[in-house]
Amino acid sequence: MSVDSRIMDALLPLGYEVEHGTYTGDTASTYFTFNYQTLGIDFGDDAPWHERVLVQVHLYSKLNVNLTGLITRVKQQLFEADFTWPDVTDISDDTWRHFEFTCETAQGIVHEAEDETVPADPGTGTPAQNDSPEADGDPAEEGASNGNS
Amino acid sequence: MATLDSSQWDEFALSMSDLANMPVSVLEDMILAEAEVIKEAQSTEAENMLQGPYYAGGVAKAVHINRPRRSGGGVSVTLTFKGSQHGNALGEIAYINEYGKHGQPARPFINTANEKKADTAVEAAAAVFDKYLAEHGL
Repeated sequence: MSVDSRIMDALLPLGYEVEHGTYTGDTASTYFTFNYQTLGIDFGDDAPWHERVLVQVHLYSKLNVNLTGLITRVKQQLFEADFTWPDVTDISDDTWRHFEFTCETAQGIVHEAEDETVPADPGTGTPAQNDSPEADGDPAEEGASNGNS
Repeated sequence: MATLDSSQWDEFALSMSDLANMPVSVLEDMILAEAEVIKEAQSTEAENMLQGPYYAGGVAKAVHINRPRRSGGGVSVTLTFKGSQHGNALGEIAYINEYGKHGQPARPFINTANEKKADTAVEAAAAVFDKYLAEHGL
């Protein structure tokens, strides 16, 4: 499941609109937005095998809305969706209440497996011999075709 | 039968004493080495993440390392954004970009930079500490 889906699934049950990036509606007095950055980690064979996902969830509301219970529920919902327990910062201004929830998660990276099988000979159905001079190929071309260059 | 031998305790005690008497300037150099790494990272990340119609590069160039302060037995340093652009303090522009506001998405270049370079910053501080140890034969 994607990070977007996990965040959406965690927040939508709270009954407010949720959007990635910027809220594009104009009627909600309370809504959520979220954004995240990813950092590659666990490098091996010149590639990261996991990535940290640094998540910001933003709760916006008009000034007259009581958010005390909602803030607690947001933290619980994100935690139950396997994000770290969020840190909450009140960064309200004089027009909107704005609480930022900072948490993170990690996910594995699936690299395209290198194709190590030898294509079958269409005539016999047996694996083709790979020792002809042509089969040596250009190393640069091999690198370009294995998806990991 | 294995034999355990303990010697050179006096030298060891002297080394620990030297370490305990390490001047605060070493701590300041360590924290400044970390700050330099983070400053560079925040500038780079600002260049990368804050591109847009109003981008003028001010935030990326404004990262400033303040003088280290001694606090609670340790040393701390803060990074700030100096100057103004479009009539607003660059610190305010950086803040709004970092956290976003109603109608403007967050672009958390500070946190991203800090997280990306946390290990490198610690390594820079460790290099300063190692140099001190080497210079004093510790």
